[in-house]
Amino acid sequence: MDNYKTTSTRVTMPAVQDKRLEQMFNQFLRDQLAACMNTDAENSHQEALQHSLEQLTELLLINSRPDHDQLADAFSESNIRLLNSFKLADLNETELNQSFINKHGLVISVKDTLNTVNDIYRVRSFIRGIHSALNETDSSRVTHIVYPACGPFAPLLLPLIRHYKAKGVFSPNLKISLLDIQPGAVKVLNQLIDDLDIREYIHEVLCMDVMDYQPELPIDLLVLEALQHGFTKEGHMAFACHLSQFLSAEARMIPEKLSVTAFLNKGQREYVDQWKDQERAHSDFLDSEIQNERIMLGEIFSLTLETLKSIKLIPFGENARLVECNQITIPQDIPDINKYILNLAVNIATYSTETLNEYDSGITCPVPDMSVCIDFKPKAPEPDDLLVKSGDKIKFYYKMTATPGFLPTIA
Amino acid sequence: MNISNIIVITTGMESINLISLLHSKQLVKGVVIPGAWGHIQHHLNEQLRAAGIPCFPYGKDNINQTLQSLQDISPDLGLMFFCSEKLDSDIYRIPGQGVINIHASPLPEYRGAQPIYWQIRNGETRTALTAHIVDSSLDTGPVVAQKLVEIDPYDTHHCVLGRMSEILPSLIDEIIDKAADGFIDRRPQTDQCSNLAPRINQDDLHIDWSNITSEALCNQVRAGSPHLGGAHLFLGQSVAQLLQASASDISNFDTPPGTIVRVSPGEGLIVALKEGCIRLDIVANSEGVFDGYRYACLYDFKAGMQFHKSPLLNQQGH
Repeated sequence: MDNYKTTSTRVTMPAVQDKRLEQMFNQFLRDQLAACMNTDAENSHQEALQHSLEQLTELLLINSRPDHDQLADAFSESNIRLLNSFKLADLNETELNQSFINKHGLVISVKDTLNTVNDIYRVRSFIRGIHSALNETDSSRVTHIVYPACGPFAPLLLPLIRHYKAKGVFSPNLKISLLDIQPGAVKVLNQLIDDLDIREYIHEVLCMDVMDYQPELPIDLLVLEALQHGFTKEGHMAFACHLSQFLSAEARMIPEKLSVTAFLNKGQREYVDQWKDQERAHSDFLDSEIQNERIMLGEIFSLTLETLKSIKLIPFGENARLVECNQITIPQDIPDINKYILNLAVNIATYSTETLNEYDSGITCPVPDMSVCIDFKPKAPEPDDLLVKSGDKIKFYYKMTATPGFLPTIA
Repeated sequence: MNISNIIVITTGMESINLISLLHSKQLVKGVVIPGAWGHIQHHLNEQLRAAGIPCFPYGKDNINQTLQSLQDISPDLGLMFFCSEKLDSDIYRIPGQGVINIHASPLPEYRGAQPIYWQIRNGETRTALTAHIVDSSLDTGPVVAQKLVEIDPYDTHHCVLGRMSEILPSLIDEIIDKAADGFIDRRPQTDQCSNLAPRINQDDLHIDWSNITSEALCNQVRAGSPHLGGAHLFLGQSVAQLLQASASDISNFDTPPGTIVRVSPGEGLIVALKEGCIRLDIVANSEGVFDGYRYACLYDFKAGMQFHKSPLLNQQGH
């Protein structure tokens, strides 16, 4: 009773005792109130985030492809929620903006990775592919999923995991390892995992170079997407080679197949005329006339679990390794072949029937290789120009360097 | 012979300290400004008029008039300083003790129009302010006095110029003393000249990313800083002036020279060279002066992008 009285007196009449105490107490009350409200706001954010990703994933898993606008709306809603988690992670300027090159390729800034989640058909294809792959696994056994260089949102996987959580499936047999070299990405990942309430699925979140990763468990499902268009710039190939040693006997890799083909076309036709009347690029909108103008040269490289196991790495200098790729022939008797440019295009079979075709995603847009000059001498020569003639054979190598990509050579 | 009557021949504002010094000693009787007049020459003329010092234009239209005026003054000595114009030899014969050129290098090295720029760019650590008798060729006449000047590793063009201005009074005193004796101990220059100092053109300000070392790039930048905008940066359509650069310990991982290797608030904007990397410390353009990191953020430059040597051509052959 005495205690109650004392407490009661202190609460109800602080001003009588000391004006400064009253002010301090009011401030304390405000802080407490704000904290309560923030908790509500945080709960409400978490619910909205979870709901939006569940809705999005359900839409992505529908067998018939939804209308693009419907997809765009769902992605937009999810993106707003994801950005709230990103804001809550409260990154400093270094964590947000730092970008760099290391010996295996480019590491883009966290700020620049935020938009990856908006690459609608990339996310759709991977989510559907991973879902198919997981449905083929023995659900009574633990499946270790590794997603290296996953970025702050791990967008090709975490929406699906939230969907599983809502459906109450796969837990506790999924063990997910998320890796990223950017401290800011890891900070956001942890925030997001808590906001999505999916911690039970997460085995580890590691801030490290993928090339230093030594997993505790064999990898059953490798989700790997660390490339830019033309299979360039980032460390996808190096990561695949390093992680292949840790794959379990039944391991699957997403994407199942990554194929790079070479073709010739006039740059104006391929990259300008083809898209001038389109609101966006997608394989649905390829212009058949312009596609027919292409001179297909064939597949120069493919990456699957099988090719990965048999790959031979050629040491090249101190820091680099080369992978021998296929050879193509520049055709003869094309009258204006000096107007054509060499292009490399990536097509992805994510898993089973799931694909990501040319122009469906930022990573599958063809890329011109301006270093290859067919039957002309450049007006402004560059040190890496390769002058070739009609009828020449071009042998490709893949450079596993700090600037990964294909190196064409005259065979 | 007592020297009391000096004319100065110059085209640049850099000579204002010399003129002021001579004026304070009541020795300067006039200043000859040769060549076509631009903004700088008009500004110099205004300064001279305010100080009550006669100014003589020496161009195509007024050579004879100026020569006559100078003969009327009958100067004892002519001092040439920061003069970018070649003059007719008639003018050199007017002063009783001839014309002395004050050149910013240890002649016979770095003969030419831009000695300070080329000495800093070549990484020289010591220079001299040299007084020599003007003869028919450029910067070849006998040396009459010389003062050594240190060049520190971080000196810019204007730092060295300032240091030379500090020793100018003592050099002038020595010249005047020796002029009184008719420059008896003049010392002919040898013909051995390893380095020249030609005029700077736009190509000299471009960065040859494929070959340059970090030390050479730091030197190139400070040689042109600030008066020439250091060295010039080109990336896409963006053009900027690099006003300060420093060597970096970060590995270039054998990336092509000119490639941005790192952008971060702590380490700044790091660019690959043929060997090692360089940090772009201070960059300027029409929109402001920035540290490398802020410059990269403002113009959305990221790791993996590549600076090139010169402005992009619209057509590269295709």
